[in-house]
Amino acid sequence: MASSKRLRNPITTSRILLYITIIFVISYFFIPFLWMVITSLKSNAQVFTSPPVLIPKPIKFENYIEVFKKTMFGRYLLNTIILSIIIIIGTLFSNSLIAYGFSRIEWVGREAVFFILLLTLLLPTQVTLIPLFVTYKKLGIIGAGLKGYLPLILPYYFGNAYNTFLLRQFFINIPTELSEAAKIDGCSEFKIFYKIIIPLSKPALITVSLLTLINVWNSFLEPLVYLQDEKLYTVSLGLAQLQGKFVTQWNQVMAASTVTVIPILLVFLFAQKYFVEGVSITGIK
Amino acid sequence: MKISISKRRLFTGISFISPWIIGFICFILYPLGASLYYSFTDFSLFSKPEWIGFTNYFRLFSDPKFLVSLKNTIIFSAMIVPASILTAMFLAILLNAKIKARGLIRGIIFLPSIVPQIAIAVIWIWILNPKWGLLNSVFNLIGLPDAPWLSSPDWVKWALLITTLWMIGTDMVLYLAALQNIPNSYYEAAELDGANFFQKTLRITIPLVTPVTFFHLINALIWSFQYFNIPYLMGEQGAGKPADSMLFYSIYLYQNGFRYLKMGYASAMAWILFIILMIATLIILKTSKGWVHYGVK
Repeated sequence: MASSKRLRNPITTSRILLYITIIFVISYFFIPFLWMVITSLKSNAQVFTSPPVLIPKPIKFENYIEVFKKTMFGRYLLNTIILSIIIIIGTLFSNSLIAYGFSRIEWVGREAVFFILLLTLLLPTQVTLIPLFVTYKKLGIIGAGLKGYLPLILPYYFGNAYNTFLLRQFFINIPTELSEAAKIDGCSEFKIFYKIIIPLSKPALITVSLLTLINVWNSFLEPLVYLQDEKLYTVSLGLAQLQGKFVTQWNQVMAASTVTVIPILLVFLFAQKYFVEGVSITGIK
Repeated sequence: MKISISKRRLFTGISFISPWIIGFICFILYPLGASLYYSFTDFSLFSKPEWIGFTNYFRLFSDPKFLVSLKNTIIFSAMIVPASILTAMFLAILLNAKIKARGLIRGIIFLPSIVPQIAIAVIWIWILNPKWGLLNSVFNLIGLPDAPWLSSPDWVKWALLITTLWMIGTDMVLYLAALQNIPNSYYEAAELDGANFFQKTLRITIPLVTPVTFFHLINALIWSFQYFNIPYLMGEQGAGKPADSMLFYSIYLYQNGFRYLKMGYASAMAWILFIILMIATLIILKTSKGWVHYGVK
């Protein structure tokens, strides 16, 4: 069979092409992380060399210590962690209730109201940001110590379209027979909610928590607008400010970036499947 | 009896969603109305809003900085929306092929999309450094000259594109999910007819992932018009540098609202943005019937 022999060659060339493409793809997505860590371990002299030094020598862990000494980065980390916990609690609490109301109870006008909820996804943040800022300013919340966090926390306690949508998709797929059996036993709707639906929805609740965590870690515009006291800064805000200040100390800026990224990487490593699930359900970050 | 049950259900349903109703009124409906009102006023936070009719809107369209920011945003949106669709689709097709360590590679691609954007900006500002950056070193290695990247108005948008595409992971995951839903029999039938890889991609794969493309198109359009974090940092802390080439719509809005405290002016900008996005979304929705195929369930 001459033809099958001739076929093998093009297949191997296309394989080679495929692997070259894959190496290129991996480099693009992975080397920046590597470069961040490498730069963070370099001495000042080694940062500015051309061509660049690939392996730091000596390895300067001191850069990390310097960052924590010179800036309040440790505090920013702690702030962000505490903020994340408070926000995740609110998100889980409000969105699971709301999603239950949109999925497990049938009421007149439910679909129309749900459509309005989905429409809010199209609303740009910038439209609501200014009046909210004005209101918080009038209430004396901005620039008044810990109260400064309220504008960042409050909205999460009243649900949002992404998370409600995600949980609703999950709740819908729980068999209605479960609720009906409980109703015959005289359970109230609220009891069904927290005794049956919530325990069954752990994976979805974990997904929502993780997506919220990422969101809080990533959030920048709101902290930039609302947090005026440096002591209250979140990591993203702190890192942005650091980059502006330490323009030439790239080793320390990269140490700070590494510190910002590592918690997220760890979370991702331990909970990868929940992320992918969350993305496939809602299609959002 | 029946009426009372449905009334009770309505009551219970509303009770469950009541947090959202309160939030909707306080955090969406009220600010929406207030910003519309502010947009017709001269308002600097410390004074009372003063009604000036359409003046803010007229001023905006003769404000060269506003026009530059709008132009920058439209140009970048026209770059990133198609580029992100093509890249995500390409990566999904690539990683749907049977290759070694497929899961690991998918993980690596997905990872940057959950990294805080400010950290992404910081990392890439360093990689794109014209003198000491890693990318220019690679360029030199293969015989290309240094590129000015973030220091030249002609190059910044390409720099921003490279950085932004780094976060493509979530979109790739969506396309992957869609690809896995395409029945193998479609491809087998095409192979019997002698179709090659490109014909199969063009005639089967791309049409059958159009629901994802449709979703992505709307989503990417909305965020690209609000793009803030990375251009903020890359344009030197919200200055829009170099030469206003990083002055994006949301950055100019931020400058007006929170640096110059021109709340009325910034609100007018916000409403123009909102209207642009609504019109664009409607156009995409209207045309979607012509090109979105819901072939496979």
